[in-house]
Amino acid sequence: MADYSTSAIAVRGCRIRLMRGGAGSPLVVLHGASGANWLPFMQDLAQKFDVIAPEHPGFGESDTPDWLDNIHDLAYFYLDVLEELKLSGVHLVGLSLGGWIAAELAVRSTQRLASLTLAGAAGLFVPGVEQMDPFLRTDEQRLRDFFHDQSKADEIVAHTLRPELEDVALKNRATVAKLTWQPRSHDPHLSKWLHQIDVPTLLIWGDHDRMFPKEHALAYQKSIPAAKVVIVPQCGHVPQIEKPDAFLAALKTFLGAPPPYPPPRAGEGREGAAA
Amino acid sequence: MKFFNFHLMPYAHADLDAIARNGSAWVTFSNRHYDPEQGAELYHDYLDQMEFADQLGFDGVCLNEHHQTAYGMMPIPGVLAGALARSVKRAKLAILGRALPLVNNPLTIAEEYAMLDNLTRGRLIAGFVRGIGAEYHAMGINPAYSQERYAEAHDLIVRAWTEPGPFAFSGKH
Repeated sequence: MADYSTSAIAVRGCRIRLMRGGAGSPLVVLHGASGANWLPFMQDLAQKFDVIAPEHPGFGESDTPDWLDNIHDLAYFYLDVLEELKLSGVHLVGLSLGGWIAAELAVRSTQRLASLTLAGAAGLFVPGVEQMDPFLRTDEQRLRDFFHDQSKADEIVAHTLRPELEDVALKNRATVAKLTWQPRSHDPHLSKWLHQIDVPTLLIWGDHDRMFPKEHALAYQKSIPAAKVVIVPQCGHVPQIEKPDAFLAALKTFLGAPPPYPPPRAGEGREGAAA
Repeated sequence: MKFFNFHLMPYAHADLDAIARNGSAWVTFSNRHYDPEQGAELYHDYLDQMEFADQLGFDGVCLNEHHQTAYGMMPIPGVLAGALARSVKRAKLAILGRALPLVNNPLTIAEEYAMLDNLTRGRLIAGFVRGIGAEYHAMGINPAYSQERYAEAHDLIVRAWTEPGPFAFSGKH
């Protein structure tokens, strides 16, 4: 299996940590609110792709720049990062909070993108759909909320809630509050412009996602012309961790043969929500 | 040495078992646990106590601000200060304080305090606070911006009170 290396890069004066492994077309993974990790699915993809996983400004070992106020700042920042790293034909994968950043980035420019994948992404508000409020939960409850299968959660809780990780967890928490407190984890203006995303798009969601329930996937699909939805059964908010095989299978199928763009016109059998 | 009478005005009829079941008297504790008739009695009892403190010779009486909680019935302390402005004859009236980051236009606080200062003929002590974490849940204000919002609101209020107006103000928040 391909390995990865860690480095620090400075983009317009902001220093961030970058994990990178493998070779091939660039595949950039934007992490969620819990922070940046090199996950097994990334290790797997590194056999075929140049997998690049930055740690967002305001998280972990990356700088917290003065200009960081909201999710839009990160979307623009990552456009700068793609330019700085001279990447094009990028497969952009956004997980949860990172999915929101990826969607905002793609609304602004898809010039350097080959495809977009959102998993359990924040960013939209869907009226009438109940969501867990992560700010009203303890650290352990919040992690458990991510999982449908609580035996999987046990492992993550033991691995994540360690004293030596407290400082990073607190830093991440403060940045997450800054980015998502109000309006809670969404931008009321995002859905107006999702139609501008003109690259093949995959939406991977757990069917028991309690943070951003699958209705959020359908809401994204409704607005993004070339979006395909894969709902992972018996799975919570983090399919990449809870059901890595199903997640990888969906992602590899999509990356191997992304649906054509532009999408077929109405009535010509565009793919819908699949179980 | 000065002596002030500080009232937190708790909802004394709160169902303690319901609070225990809910896990908190703040933020998630439902307003269905509040009885407005009993609440009205409490407000008047508490205001009577503060007027009595004035008669007993306290140097001042103090109010504060908490939102949507059985812990205190003073989300808008200025209303109670207004009620006391004429009945507390001698003691100072202290609001400790208004939580500046919670309002979107701090001029509302500048106006409120300026009115109270006039009503009490200068017996108002104007307190500014940031508020505790629960207020940021209750009022939907981002706590990550608490200090920035406090500083900006503070500067605007002080300018509104001290500069001949009108003046232009441009803030981030």
